[in-house]
Amino acid sequence: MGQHAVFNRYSGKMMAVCRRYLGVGPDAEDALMEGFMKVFTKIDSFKEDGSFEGWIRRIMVNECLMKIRKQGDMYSKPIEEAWGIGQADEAFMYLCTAEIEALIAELPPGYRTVFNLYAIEGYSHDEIATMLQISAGTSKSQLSRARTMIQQKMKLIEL
Amino acid sequence: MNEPNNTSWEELDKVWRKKIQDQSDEVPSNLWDKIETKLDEQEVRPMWTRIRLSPWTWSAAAVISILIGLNWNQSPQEEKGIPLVVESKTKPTTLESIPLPSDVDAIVSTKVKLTIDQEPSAPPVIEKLPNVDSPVVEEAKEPIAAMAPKQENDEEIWVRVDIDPVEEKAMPVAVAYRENEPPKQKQRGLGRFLKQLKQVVKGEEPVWQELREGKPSFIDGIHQVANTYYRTEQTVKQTFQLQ
Repeated sequence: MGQHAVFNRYSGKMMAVCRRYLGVGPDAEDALMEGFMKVFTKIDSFKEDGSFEGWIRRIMVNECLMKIRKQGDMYSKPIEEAWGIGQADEAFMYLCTAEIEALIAELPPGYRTVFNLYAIEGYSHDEIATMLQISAGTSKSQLSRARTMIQQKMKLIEL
Repeated sequence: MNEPNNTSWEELDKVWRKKIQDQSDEVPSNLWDKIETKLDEQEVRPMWTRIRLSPWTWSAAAVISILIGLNWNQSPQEEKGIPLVVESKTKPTTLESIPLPSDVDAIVSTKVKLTIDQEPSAPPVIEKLPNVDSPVVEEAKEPIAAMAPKQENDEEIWVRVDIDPVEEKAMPVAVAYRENEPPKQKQRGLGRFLKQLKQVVKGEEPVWQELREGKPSFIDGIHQVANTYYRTEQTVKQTFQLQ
């Protein structure tokens, strides 16, 4: 069956995407399930000018954002605190995948969402602002806070 | 405010993106079963919930359903198990139909017993009423019952024949109606509705009250149709919101 084949091929990667946004738990599984339901029911709307995996990934990210949005407002932080962040530690380059995932998972939901969208998925601040219904400044603020927090955690690990 | 130096962060983003994007996690084994069940449920859903139609099409469908609802509501209660009663009053058009002696002046009443049996072409038995002194019109020489063995399930139809010489030219009258049924309306609901519409088109003021005449359940019917229309509209809205 075609649907089962698609599920088998992409479910692992998409599970990782959902867990990166929602953490390990039932929310991530629900998002994955709902996401695949949309994939199978809206398969007609897929245009072949992009990659199929990218299309599925966007659906999964949207499902995760819908679940995060239900959790309430988590982006209303003053922008002024966002700036003044230094350069990234070179040690970050050599972290393995599991360590990176662990660092991201420890971020608060608001920071984690923006960090995932910007740093991992590659969306711009304007796109993130539209997706999360926040301002581009708030998106930048959240990203900077996320990076600051990651740096602090790395220092703790090095110590 | 200091502008952040994100150069190294941008490089770091690329490295992390490359490492993370191909990351795969273990999927719970029962997840596919859940998805399959949900997909099956969606396939079982009624076809009309999956049909994507334009709002105009839905509106047209709603109008048609309202018209059908109005027409159905106004239609007589046919085929609802109400026993049909047939009353037959037969008046002979001319005296030639039953040969009479020429000296008969008075009204002659006869009672004709028709027996339905194996031989439909056999002549009926005509009995003379006891209180009638006038000459017997005609009697069958041999009753049908004597010709064929009588069955218990024989169906008998009694027809009273009144012969009134004064009303020779009267035509036969046959009236059929159902028990407890009001007289049939001359114009059905849709017809009356169209009549009102024609009046509106002509510029005359319609008499909507006419639509309710003789049908107390009409208002309830209108409410039912309106509710159906409202529910359909809500479903359409929900469908479009989901899309």
